[in-house]
Amino acid sequence: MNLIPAIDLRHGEVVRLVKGDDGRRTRYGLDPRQVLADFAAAGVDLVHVVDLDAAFGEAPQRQLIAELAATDQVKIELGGGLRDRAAVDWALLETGCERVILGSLAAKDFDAFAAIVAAHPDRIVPAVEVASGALRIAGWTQEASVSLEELCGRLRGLPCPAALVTDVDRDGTLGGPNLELASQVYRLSGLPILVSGGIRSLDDLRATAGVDGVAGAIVGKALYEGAFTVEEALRASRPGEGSGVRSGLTCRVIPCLDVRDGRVVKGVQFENLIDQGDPAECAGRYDAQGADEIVFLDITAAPEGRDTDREWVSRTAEQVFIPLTVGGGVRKVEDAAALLRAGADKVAINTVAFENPPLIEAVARQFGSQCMVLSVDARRRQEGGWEVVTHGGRKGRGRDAIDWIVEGVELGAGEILLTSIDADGTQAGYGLELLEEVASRVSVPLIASGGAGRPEHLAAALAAGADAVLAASIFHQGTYTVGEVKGHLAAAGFPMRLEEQGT
Amino acid sequence: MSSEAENQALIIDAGVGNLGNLARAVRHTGSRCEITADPERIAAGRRLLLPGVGAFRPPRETLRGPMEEALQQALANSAWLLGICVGFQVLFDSGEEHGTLDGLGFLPGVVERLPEEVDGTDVVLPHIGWNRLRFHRPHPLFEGIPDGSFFYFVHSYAPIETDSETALATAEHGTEFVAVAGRDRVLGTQFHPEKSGRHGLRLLRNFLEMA
Repeated sequence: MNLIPAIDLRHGEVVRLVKGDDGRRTRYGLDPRQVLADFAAAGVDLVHVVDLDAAFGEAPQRQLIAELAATDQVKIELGGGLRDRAAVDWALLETGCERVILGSLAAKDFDAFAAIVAAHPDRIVPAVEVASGALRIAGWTQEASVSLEELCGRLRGLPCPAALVTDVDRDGTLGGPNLELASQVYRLSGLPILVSGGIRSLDDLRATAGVDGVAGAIVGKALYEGAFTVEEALRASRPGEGSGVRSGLTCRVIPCLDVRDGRVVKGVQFENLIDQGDPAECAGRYDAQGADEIVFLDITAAPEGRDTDREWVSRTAEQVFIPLTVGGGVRKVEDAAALLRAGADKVAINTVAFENPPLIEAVARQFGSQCMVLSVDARRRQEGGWEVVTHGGRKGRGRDAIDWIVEGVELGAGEILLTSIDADGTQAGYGLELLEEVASRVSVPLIASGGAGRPEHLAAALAAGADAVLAASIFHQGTYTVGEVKGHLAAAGFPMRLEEQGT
Repeated sequence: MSSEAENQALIIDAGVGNLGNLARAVRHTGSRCEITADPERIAAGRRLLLPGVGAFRPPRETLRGPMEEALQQALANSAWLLGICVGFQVLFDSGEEHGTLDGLGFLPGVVERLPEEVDGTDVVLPHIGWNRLRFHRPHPLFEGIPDGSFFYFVHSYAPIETDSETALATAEHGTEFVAVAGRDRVLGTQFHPEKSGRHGLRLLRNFLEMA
């Protein structure tokens, strides 16, 4: 995703309006020439310049804009008050502007708009500006006479490089971007989307970068008010580029299945369990969708029940030829041996490993570190940091989670399955700070768990340093298939294993 | 020795790792198979699979002596051999995990640790997950598998270099390494075909059909 910093010009100065209201204007007292040079120096490729004077029907700031566009260090897209062919010709032919934003014209006089696009292919970006669900025009002060759906439908197939989508209600508010609107316009128009309005944090940028169809994000207020630096924003906008280490290794998407008494179940907090079917069949379905691995969590209540029923593990391994991890009920090396013999490729150990750390060493020595997945549930502490919780997230242990993970890796854990108890079950996104902290401390693969609700959550977890993302509800509820999620992540720039599925 | 017994695949038990999943995958391709550590059975085998996980030394030491002689005898009698993961690594001249140790020497090259750091950036190790193969030349082992397909790897060591004839495919993780190698009837994969979905099953089937 392209990070596009904004420079809004009012009476020759850099300003920022709230929701497009000239009466709620912040003056930053900055020289636009200097701001532009700073953006260029930070590595920005394209800057979004808006002539607010022209947008409000006053005399355009042409001399200043021509001066800014004369730089060859950075490209400029110009918006604001460009209402006819002559104004567009001026910007594109007489100044060095790369492209222009046309908002009102497409909504008011589509034929005139289309004629300009035909004259300047790949240089006209239509602006789709929405307030309270309705299209806005003329500096956002008027409601348009066509609907959002109509306008987007007409844009489909035009030679425009992108469509700029602004949620006026959020612009300049730092209220978070409207990614649903971005997705909607992408679906309706088929044009790559520039998201504008409401971006307040690096997490917002990462989430925006993860949305299918988004090609760029326009950031203003958050940059000017120091929420993050341009350099940080550039990095967050390209989450899939990773560390720069050359590797063909892909990020893994791992559905997690709860198994009780040999059946896949679904429930809330181990209650109201609903039978979801046979483990082998469920795993086979996810394999066919492109799952990179499957994790089974055996939540069989009675320990003796687990010992006697490993038949479902073998049955799954007879039919599904991707890695299978089984967690739950491993108390000693023999339990791990039985699971591996039955067909598991790895075992995940949580509470028992915490209470008996030598077990990690013993399993790793006997079967190799690659079999020994240390599962850790962590909960944020009021005083900062995270503590280990065990027993399915019910029992706080007081131990610093990061310390415990580092120790587990030293003992021989080959992978970390990390669940943020704060995020688990919320479907509001993974615990990103926790992931960042753990990823910076251990070099073994890190699987993020807890909180997945949308594909951009998985993208944010990978951007935070996870090597794999585990999710349950979004797949089991059928909200997304594994393939859809992987498609989103690939579009956000993450290396994914995408192959034609089926046999 | 009946021809049926000759035609079944033999999975060589070098004392390490979980052989069940390889056996399941071989059976899934339609072949019969047997897991054995018996040098006589190995010497008479025609389609031999040598799996292994973990470190280089344990399977190497298990093979030393009668099993190694049996392997050599089988190869002299035109058997085919496919090494997998550490079973692939021990086919090379030597390994450097926990000190240098001689390998079986069927394939030229040294098994080294993948780089832990490249240009100041940590490389995640072990290398666990799906990585893309780059075919270096056509081979019957790759029949029906597109160049660039993904396979499942779990390892920290690999043969980084071998001769250009022997390297059939490479993959990249911090550095380029040999992911599939072969010389005459001795073949091997650094990844786990039995865990690499349909392309992995196809590669196993190709091996069993070639042999």
